[in-house]
Amino acid sequence: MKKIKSRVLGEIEVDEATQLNFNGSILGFEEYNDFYILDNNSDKDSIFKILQSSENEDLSWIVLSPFAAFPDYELDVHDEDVKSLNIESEKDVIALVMVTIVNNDYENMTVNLLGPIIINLKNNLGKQCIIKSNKYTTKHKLLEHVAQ
Amino acid sequence: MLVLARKTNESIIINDSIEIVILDVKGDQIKIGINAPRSIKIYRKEVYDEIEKQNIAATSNDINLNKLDNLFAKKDKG
Repeated sequence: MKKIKSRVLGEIEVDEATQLNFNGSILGFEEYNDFYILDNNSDKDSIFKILQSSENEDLSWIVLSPFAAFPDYELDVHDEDVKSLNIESEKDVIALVMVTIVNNDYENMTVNLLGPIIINLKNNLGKQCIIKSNKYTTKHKLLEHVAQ
Repeated sequence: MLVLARKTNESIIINDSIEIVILDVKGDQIKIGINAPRSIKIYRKEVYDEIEKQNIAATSNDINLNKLDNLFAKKDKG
C-alpha cells in the first residue's frame, strides 16, 4: 500500500496494483500518467468515483459510468484507441465520464460524453478517447437526464 | 510548418495513404475532402480544444461528494 494525497479525499492509502497508466492521454494534462479510481470514503456504493492523479493532488475528477445515467450511450471509440489499450475483450473494459460542476451549481452539473475515459482492467491502461459519433458533446446535463 | 499552395480539386498525399483534396473555396470557407485508411483518426481541432477546456473546468471546481450523492438519491426517488 502507498499513501497519496487528494484535494477531495485528503490523504489516502492506495493499492499500487490498481494504479492506472494513462500515458498522458488526458487532454490538457499530458504530463500526468499515473491515476487511481477511488471510492467516495463515506459511501462506497455511490455511483460517483474519483479519478485521482497520484502525481498531483489537485488533479481530481468526479467520474461515473455513462451507462448509470445514459443507458443508451453508444460507446463507439476508434479502433486505434482499442489497439493502444491492448483491449482483447469488452469484459475487461470500463468506461467513465467526467462531471463538471460550475460555481457549486449541482443542479446543473454536466457530464462529458464526447471524451470518455476508457480503462482496460486487465493491464491497467487508461485513455481519454474521443467518441466517433457526432451526437455527443462535452456538456450533457446529468440530473435533468436522470429525472426523466 | 510546411506550406503548400493548392487550387480547387488539387490534392496532397501524406505518408502514401492519406489524400487531402481541396474541393471548394467560397470566401473564407474551404471544403476539404479526406481519403484515409480507417485506422487514421480524424477530428476537427475544436473537438480536442473543447475536451481540454472541459477537463480543466471539471477539475477546477469544489467537490462535495455528500452533496452529490444526496442530490442523486433525491432524484432517484422522485
